[in-house]
Amino acid sequence: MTNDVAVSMTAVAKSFGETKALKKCDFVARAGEVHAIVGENGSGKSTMAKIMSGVIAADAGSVLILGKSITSPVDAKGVGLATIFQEVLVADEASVLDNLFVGSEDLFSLRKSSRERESVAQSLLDRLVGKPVDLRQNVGDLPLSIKQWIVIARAVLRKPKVLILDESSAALDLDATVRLHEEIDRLRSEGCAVIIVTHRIAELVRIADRATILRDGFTVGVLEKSEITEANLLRMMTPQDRQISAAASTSAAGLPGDRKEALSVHGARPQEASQPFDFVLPQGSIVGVAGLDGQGQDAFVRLVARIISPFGGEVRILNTESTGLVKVSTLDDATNKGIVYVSGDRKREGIFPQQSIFENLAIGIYQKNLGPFGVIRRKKLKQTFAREVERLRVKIGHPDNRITSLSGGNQQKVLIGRAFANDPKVIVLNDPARGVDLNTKRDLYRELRLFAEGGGSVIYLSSEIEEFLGFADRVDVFHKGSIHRSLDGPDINEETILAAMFGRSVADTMEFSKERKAH
Amino acid sequence: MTSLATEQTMSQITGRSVKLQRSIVIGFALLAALLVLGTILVPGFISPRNARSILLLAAFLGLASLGQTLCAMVGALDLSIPYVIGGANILFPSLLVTGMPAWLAVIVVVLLGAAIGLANGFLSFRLQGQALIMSLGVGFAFVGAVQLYTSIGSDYGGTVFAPVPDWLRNFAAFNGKTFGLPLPPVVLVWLLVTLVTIWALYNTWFGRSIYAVGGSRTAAARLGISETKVWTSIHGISGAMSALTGVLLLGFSGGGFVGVGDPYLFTTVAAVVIGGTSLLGGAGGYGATVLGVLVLTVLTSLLVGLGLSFAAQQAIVGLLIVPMVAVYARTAHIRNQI
Repeated sequence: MTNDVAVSMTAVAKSFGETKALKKCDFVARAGEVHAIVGENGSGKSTMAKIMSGVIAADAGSVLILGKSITSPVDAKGVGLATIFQEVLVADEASVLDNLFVGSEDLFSLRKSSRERESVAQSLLDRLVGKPVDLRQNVGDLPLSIKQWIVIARAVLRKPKVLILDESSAALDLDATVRLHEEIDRLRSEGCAVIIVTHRIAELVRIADRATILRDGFTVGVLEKSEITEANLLRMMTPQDRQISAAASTSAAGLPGDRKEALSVHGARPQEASQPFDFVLPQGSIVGVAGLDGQGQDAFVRLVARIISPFGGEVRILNTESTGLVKVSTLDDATNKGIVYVSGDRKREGIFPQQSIFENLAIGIYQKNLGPFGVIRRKKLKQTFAREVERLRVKIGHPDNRITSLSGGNQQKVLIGRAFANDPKVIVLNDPARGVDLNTKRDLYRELRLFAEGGGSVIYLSSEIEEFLGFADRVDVFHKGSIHRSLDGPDINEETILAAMFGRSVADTMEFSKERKAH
Repeated sequence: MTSLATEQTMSQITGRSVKLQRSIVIGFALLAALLVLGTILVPGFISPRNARSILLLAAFLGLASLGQTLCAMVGALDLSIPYVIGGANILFPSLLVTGMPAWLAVIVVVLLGAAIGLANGFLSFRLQGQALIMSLGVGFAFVGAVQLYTSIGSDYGGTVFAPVPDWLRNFAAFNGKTFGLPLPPVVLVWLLVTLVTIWALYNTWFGRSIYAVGGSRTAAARLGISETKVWTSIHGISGAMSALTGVLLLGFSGGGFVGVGDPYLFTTVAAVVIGGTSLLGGAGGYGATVLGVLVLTVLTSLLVGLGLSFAAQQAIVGLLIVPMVAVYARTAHIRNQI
């Protein structure tokens, strides 16, 4: 059997600054199997995919692809490895055909005539997309879903011996997922090792032959086909302590109907195509916001925080005397009236990379501590900083160290501390747990729950359904620019949320689940 | 426990704002090296007389570089500085000729400089891809317009002669005195401006906003900091400081000359960079620029003391900027951004 090994990784470790993404990981994939790498966000699975494809180098351990060790993506291509990354990397100015064959042959060794390769490309792409595609047109004019297929087809056309899919099906709809799986089957039968990196359990239950489970940077086990069940996977992916606490909080969740409105949005229209809708945030609750990519949920939370107001929507918030709602017009107004916004896109819209940890937190509260001529009263700031660092359990060295000396999770904690330090009434979080480790997530959930119990209210957008389970009191699922369904109580489960994300109705949910299982 | 402790010390060593401290150390080392060189090579280099002349020239450059520093901190460059200096330098005496009281003329010129700066800032913000050429254009337009005004009734408006008030002469001339001390008051003004600026950059909301906008525009916008306001106001400050420098230079030279600002295009940027403020924004400060100003002025004084011609001085300063910038620019942060 050893000559069948396509990928083998032994005791691999990798750190980014102070963050240990991989601590000790082992992995073996054989030729002709579909092997899934599963784990929660921050468990290290993407790092593993990147090491395999030669994008980054491991700090320790050995990595062999088809018996060779590789040090760059070019090496990887040389031994017959292809990777489909999450990002849709296409050249908009070039034709579909050029995009399909970019980098696949070098100038002096054209093996097939251009007509032959064209017909191969045509039939593959038609099969994947499910309808004929004109290979001559510019990629820039095509919708995102077809661009994604082009990226997939590009990899398949190379006839790879090892194919890595990094969350590739995240943005595909159900029919498309089926076609992708058919293609994966075909590759497997040709002896290709297909490695799928995902946190979508339902998907891999159907197609994976084996699964390697990562947790917090360790390989915690390998499951054979017969053992791959949702229960087994969840048990292995989730740390023991959280399994218990998640169960406990689910039973405690639920919303009494007599709560005051903390915030309301009337006539919200986050996208041009949106049907205007209303939104109510009850005081003391955590409302989750979900949706497939680009369904307007992202624009909606920005609208609530008054960062943008694209096509209308009136935001009102409970006034200071808690007697009625007042209108919130601008971002400044929102800040003054107690709405704060925390972004998961830390690098772009969160941190100030050249500034210290202290400054990164304090910049959010200077405005509340100003004397005449905009002079900052610094006395209280140190106390507030210490309080937030303590409360969120931020692991810091010296407050004057640069913010970039912290791990992603701790940077996020500083930003959340910046939000808390303003004593807000409503916290709007836009996918805050993106790329942070499990401990940070747990601290975050706990603090938000405490905040809600103290009368605060939370809007929490996440791209991961798992985050809502046992945490959100209500989940509003977006589809085509507006709230398609509002779920609460027992409806907050993976199947129902997923069905709603695909635009299914209540009655449809059962059928949807059956369809998924059938595939 | 030990591993946690080591982790903390590690992050303290690696993470502290190493870059700024490093550039300040380098700045002081450069300054000391130049002073030692001067002492050895030039007789009388370390003398009250030479110190006074260095401080006086440094004061002009320092005042002119304040705006450039603020602009660099948000990733902008103000190339209109030399033209505003030159324009102010001829506009001020021609206002005196009309009989306007000197104090009023100072206010008018400085306010006009601020207005030009605000316009420059607003336009270059709106047309950010063309910010550099925009600030050059505004400077050109200003200095051209001033010359049109000063040339009314004469053939050439580039030089203007007017009786310079005695107080201004004392204020900025080499033999000026402050309360009987042999030091021109402009040096003390510069010291005061330096202290206020450094304090305000750290202790006011406006100061912190400049760092925020320079560090991350989007993150600053999320905090409700208006990039337009910050960008425009610092250009306004830069315009006002340039105009003030132009007025003070009249006290130094005694006659208005439109080209008096020309060297300041290069020297203000050089002082900022030598001080260690990144031209990409987000870090640095005026204290660093003061250091850069002193290094640059001492260097020039050394070259003059060695008897080099102006052309030779220019060539040497120009060449020296390369290794100086190379030393500073090789920090991880800048490498990452480029």
